[in-house]
Amino acid sequence: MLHLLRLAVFSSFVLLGLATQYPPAAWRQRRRRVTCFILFFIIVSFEVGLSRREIWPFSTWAVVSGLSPKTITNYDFEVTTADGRIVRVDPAVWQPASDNEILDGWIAWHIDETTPSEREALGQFVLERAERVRQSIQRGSKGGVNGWLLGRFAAPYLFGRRTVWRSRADVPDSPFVAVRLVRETWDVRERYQDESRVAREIVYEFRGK
Amino acid sequence: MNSVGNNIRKKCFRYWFRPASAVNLAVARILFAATALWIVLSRPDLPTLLTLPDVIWMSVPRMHRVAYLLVFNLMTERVLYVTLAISLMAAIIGLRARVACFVSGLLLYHFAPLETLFWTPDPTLRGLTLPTLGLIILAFSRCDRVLSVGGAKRKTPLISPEHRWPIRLLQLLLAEVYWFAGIAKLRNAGLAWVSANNLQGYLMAYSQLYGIHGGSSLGYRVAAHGTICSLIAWIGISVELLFPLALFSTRAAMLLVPLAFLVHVGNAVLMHIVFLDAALLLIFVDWPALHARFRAALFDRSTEIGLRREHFTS
Repeated sequence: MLHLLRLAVFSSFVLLGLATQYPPAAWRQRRRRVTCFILFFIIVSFEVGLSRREIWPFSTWAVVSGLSPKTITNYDFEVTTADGRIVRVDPAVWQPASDNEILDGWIAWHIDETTPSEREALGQFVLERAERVRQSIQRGSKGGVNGWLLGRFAAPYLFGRRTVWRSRADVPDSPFVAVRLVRETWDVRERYQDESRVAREIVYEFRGK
Repeated sequence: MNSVGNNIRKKCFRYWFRPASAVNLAVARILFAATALWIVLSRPDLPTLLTLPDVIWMSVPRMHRVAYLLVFNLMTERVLYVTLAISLMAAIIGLRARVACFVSGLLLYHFAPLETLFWTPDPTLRGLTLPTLGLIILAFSRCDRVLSVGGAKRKTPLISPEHRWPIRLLQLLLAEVYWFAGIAKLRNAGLAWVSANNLQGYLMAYSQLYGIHGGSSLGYRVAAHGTICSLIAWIGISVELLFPLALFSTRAAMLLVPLAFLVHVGNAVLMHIVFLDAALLLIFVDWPALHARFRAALFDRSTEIGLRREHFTS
């Protein structure tokens, strides 16, 4: 129901906006309708901002608002080539999705709920996508799909992992045959002192058919 | 008591409905549409997110999709996405600008959540939230009076009370971004948010997650200096909490708007958080007044310019 409330609030916003113009009238007559539109906007946006309950597109705008995390859990996929080389999957593989939405979002929230067959389907998807991007970079083009219109001027994501596959030299010559999901955890300050202080765990592995 | 009420009412009336130039509205239209178009063209394959594996989409409640009308097949979504890009271009050049803004706003409401819907139905800060609301507001304004194809032929006045409220509303929208963010920090973390320890933690964490491994990340290097971290945190939260002053004072806007832009640059460089709507801060600029000042400085024709400034600013 809460999600239909979003649609209702947005619809009301649009309808009140339309009412500022229709039926057409002189500015003095329409001014009261404009005032209603302004009041609606102020009431809804303040209710959302101060109550911290999102009714998108009216937003709370809360980001990086808590205390900084002491420990971090990070998910990443790694792919294995036919000759046994293991490389980390480039964020461009997820485009047009952001790696942040997929890895820090969906994977972090849902991977533990998935069944073996669902993990297999996900593994197959990642393997195919990664292989397609590998081949694309091998051919000398950019890996992801985001930049094909604007190139280097394409808008980045709000958050984004560093690029791993920058050029042909970064991707293996032989095809990918397996994929695995890795969960890494670390204490932020310990890792700051020593880059190697990261605990790794393989969540699951999938070998292509 | 009655006179106080009347006084407040008069001030409110003057704030929202004082005559203003149509130029600022037209610039706002271009800024909002261009920002959205930049993001849309940067993700040209966005509708293909619908082809993510079923296991991902299965976790999305049907009501989330219904709320944003994401119920069409891929081909329909592709056609709608192209329509969105065309309508944004039309809004920029001012071709049927108000209709273009309206269509763009509705289609942005439809497409923006697609980017995040599989784990959150709130695509806040992904760049399209402000254009969604902003373009809808602009659709109900005389944003097509100038800087638009055929705009010069229109018979509506260049300066009108109708041109003030949409700009004020857009500025309020921008101010809320900062003010609500500042309030959220105080409510979630209190004054501990501005401690050196907290910002150091963020710089380290985001550098580790999104930056370059090891000591070469600038965020890592800054994290080594507690005093600088605390100073950055104080500047950031002060700009956020004081930003509403830009709604009422030109001088405050002249200080806070550049500072807000610098905060975004700092966030991008140090914390790898990219705010895609930073260009929208330019709606706080009074373009006709700036133009008049520029001309005055250039030609030193103060009498003529004084007249023009009086016309354009109020």
